[in-house]
Amino acid sequence: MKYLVMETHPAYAVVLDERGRFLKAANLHYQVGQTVEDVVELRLPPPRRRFRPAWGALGALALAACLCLGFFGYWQPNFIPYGTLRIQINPDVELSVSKTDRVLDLRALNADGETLLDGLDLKGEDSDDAVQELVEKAFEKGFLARGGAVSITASSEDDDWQIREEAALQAQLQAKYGDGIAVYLGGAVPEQDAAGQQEQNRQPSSVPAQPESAPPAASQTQPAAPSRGDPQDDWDPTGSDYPYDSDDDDDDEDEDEEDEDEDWDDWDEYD
Amino acid sequence: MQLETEQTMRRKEHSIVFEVRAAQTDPAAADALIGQYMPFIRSETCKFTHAPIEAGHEDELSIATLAFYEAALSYQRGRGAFLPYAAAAIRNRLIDHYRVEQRHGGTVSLDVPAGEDGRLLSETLPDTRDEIAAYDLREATRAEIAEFGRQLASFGIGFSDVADNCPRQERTLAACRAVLDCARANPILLDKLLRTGRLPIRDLVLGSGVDKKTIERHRKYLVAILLAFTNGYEIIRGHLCQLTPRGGTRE
Repeated sequence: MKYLVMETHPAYAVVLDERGRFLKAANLHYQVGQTVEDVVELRLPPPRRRFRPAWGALGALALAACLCLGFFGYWQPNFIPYGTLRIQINPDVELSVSKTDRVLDLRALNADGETLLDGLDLKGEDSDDAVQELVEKAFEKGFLARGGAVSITASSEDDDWQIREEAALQAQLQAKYGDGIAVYLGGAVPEQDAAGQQEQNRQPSSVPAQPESAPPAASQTQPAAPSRGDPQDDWDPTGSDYPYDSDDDDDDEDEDEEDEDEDWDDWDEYD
Repeated sequence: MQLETEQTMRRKEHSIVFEVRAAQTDPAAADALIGQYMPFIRSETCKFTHAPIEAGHEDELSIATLAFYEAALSYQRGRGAFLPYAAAAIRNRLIDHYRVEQRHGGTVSLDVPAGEDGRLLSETLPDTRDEIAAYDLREATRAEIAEFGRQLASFGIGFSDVADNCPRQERTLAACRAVLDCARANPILLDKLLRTGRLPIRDLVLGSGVDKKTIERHRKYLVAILLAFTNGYEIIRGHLCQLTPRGGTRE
């Protein structure tokens, strides 16, 4: 490749190559009009990495963030089933419930359940209201009478939610109907009650489906409220995870702390 | 006293920053900057060559000057002082240069004394070139380039601008060549360029199918290369032999 020198500067020469490119090259004592063969080309600085907001990417990111926010903040808690509530009176009904206690779906698990659900649109309602309404409807349609039994089974991957939900529903129904109905948790309806209910319902053919898989949970017992007098969990002035560690020196102190904790607890209760 | 010198130092540093910034856009400012810092460039080159420039190291000085210019172009304020940066750039460029030159290590320079009679090696070789004709050609070329430069200047364009504006990607170069072919096929467009003093962009877009943005972006380069294909400029046109698709082979 031959280069024609077009202009010379102290630092560089402008040369024209045979393909019509004008280049800046090292001025190795060139003269204008000279034809040279090898040039040392100027290396251009890399393009400035100035922060230019790419609006497209930024917009896409914002959209994705909004979608994520919408999904995890609104869609998932409201529209994704979080657990199921199974109500067994004699009609056997299962409710899919979202995390925000919204009823997503109702399924009847036996023929009476279908009768019970007939004409009821509980989708989108709060699960407490839905259960309440179901029980009322059961009274109306004669599936449930005073002294009858309702069995509530919550199941979810979240054990906490399960316990909380069952306890809340039980408390709610007991508050509403008092001793009028018996509320059992975990699907464990005692035999005689079920039998009595059958008689009351005058439908001996339909046997309440007992879920075999459901564990015989301790019914009618409130889940143990977290006891507040747990000195290890409450307050640990040493910051140690092991208040009763094996260090000989600390043992005395630990005992002192325990006393102190109890004092605190007492004070708390007093307050 | 201490404070005062510090402040003057800082002001000095500031002035070079402004000069470098001016040099990044203005070729004349770049020339002035390099003229001003030539001693610095010489000293940096000497640090590398360990010999005076005049002892056969003129090329290194040229390379170092180019490296200084590159450093000025790529310098960013806020990323350190300019002169250490330029010194590093010069050193790196000279190292690169030496590595490239090592490939020609087995060759003998023509400018070494040959034999005992004090003649240079080049003078012992038979002279096949017609020096006078070559000189005439160079004079003619120089005159033509000067005329070309004058005409470019009437468009408000200098050679440095053209070089800065020259397409660097192969694809863009091909697009510019398509524009050139279009203009050469329609000499009216070249006349229009000369007559109106502006690039007939719309006609060129229609004629060549090249995107208007591309033409606008490389306007200066296109003006220069189209001018070279107007009347006159036989030598420049002859130099651009790879640009002439038909002329190079058939004529």
